[in-house]
Amino acid sequence: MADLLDERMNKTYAQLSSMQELETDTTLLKTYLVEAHGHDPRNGASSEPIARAFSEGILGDKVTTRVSQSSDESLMIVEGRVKSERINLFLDVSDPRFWLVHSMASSVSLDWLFERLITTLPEIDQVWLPNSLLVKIASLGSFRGLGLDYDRRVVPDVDFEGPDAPVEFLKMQLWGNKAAEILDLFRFSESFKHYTTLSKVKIKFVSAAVGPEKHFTIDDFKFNGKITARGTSFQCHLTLVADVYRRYKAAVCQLEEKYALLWTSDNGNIILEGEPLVITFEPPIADLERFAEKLFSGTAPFRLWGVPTFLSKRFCRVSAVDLHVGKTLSFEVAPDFMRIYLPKGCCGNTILRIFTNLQHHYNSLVSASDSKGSRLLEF
Amino acid sequence: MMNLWIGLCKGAHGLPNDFINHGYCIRAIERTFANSDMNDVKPELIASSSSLGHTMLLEWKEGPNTVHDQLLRYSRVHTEDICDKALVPPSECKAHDVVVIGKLGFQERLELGLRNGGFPFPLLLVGQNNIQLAMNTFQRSQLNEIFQRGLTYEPDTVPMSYVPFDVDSAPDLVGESVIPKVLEYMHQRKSQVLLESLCHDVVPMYSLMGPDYKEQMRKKVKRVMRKASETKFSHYLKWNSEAKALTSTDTWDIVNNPISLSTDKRTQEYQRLRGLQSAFLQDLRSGQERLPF
Repeated sequence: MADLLDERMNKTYAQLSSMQELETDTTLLKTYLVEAHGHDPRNGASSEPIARAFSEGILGDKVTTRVSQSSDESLMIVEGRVKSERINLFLDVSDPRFWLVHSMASSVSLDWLFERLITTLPEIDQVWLPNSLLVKIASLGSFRGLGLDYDRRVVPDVDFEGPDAPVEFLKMQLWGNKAAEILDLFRFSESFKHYTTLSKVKIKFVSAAVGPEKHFTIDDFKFNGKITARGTSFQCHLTLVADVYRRYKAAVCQLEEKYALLWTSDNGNIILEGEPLVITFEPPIADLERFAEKLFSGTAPFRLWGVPTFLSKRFCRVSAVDLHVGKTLSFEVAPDFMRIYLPKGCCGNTILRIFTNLQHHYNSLVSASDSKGSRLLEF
Repeated sequence: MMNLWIGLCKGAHGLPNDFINHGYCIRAIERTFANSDMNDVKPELIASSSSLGHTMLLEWKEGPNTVHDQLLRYSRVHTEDICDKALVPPSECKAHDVVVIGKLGFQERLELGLRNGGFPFPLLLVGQNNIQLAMNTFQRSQLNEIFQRGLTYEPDTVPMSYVPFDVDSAPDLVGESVIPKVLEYMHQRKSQVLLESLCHDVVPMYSLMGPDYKEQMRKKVKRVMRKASETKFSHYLKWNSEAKALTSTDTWDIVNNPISLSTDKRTQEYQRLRGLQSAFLQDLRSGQERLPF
């Protein structure tokens, strides 16, 4: 797989460079970061859940696929057709929970396929790269471009016609070497710092471990875990992606191992492991009722189902269900903070989904911490 | 009160850090152990600190009165009982206090109970936004300092969900937890809700508690489930009177499950369920939904 994708990447880049042409989508390598939280790690890298995920029963009759195992047991190959396009997917399941899926097929087919997988299967989710991780990625190479995506209309707790109304909607795309300057201009501006949420960063990455500077990758990282790569080295691309994924996995696992709550018994004494997580809002939520109504409406992008119980105008608690994974978790929400009780067994990716979407739809400066105030999800 | 003290010991946004700074942690909840006369005591919570070498046995009173016999039994708890029988590490129980906690409005009666029995236990009174030492002192000066000045907190920041409900909770609190768990079961495509499993899943510490506590919680959860299946959620849940012979516990069949619908219809059904839950909780609060038996 590595040789094939490296050759395709190289060939494409060389051709396009010599012809001074813009690349077409189907010439680019796409890598999707997929989290399969229903997977039992004791089963290792089994092809069974993958075969099920890519079956007609899940994907519908517009898709035909065949899943096979390569000579490398951690690499699965999915060949098939999405609508009228032939596709090949290479699934690196060396970590059975955090998959890397590579393909040169068109974004139209691939995006449709992954959207379908994620909405149909509760055990499959995309990753949610928060602002801080995208900023970190931008620092890992030469920062070549960015996308901003903020839409407050999703959580409309304010009157947008009012004199002090916040920014409703901010979208921007910028390609070029001024990306870092532009980002800083927005991030540190009093007027825009609350709305500067990265949806995408583009970097050129050269790995000293891989070889000289002629070996490079130019990768677009989207907040939903889709990475589009061009360049001369698949190995560089893999090195970069592995670095980013390692950070993401560590954050998810930390949430589950250190903060998920479990009542247990030790030597006859009842012990409570874990502690709630805190998301802090600055400035405070303007209208807590409207905010909670939207957040727990059960609809996208948060997909949290619950009925808030208001104990005062400034405090509510919610026993909610994450409709994506189908697990219950509890919340307490005040104007300046939200406490999340993640039960043991619930997926840490849920927290990343909530946190990242709050950055995209509420305030890009929301922060996460533990109960003692130590910052989390900082990367 | 349980949630507040867990929050004070584990840390919670908006609560003071005094207990964390002194290294207190929760050692046991509702643990029964014998005093030096081999009579049982059962503090609501045991918190201890290795840095202060100190243990607190917390006993809270919802009402105005203390129970003389109970306090007498506490007075016969020696430090070695806490180490040997309540299993607190010796480094954390060089000294201990039985701490009586009550509401500010009942100060007079609570003080009288302690005074009449000659009990030296510190009495903490909980007001709207602080906890104050009202009578007697702790074995550790650090605690006297904290509670003599008053431990102040924002009422709207007190954690509520470590223990969402207990045997004394109103039915609506039970309903808040139970129905989302049923939705989780639906998501898992379960065909039945078994009372015993439900209790395990929604009652914190259920598996760790004694048979009496379990029985009380089962009754509490069952009442809410019966009411849910007979009223607002009758379209989804049906009590199966015959299944108990097989399942050994009260059982409800899931007769309609939104997860089996197409994506669009499922979304509509979730919205409908949300409306029903809101109405169900409202009815439980207003008492319109009279609970059976």
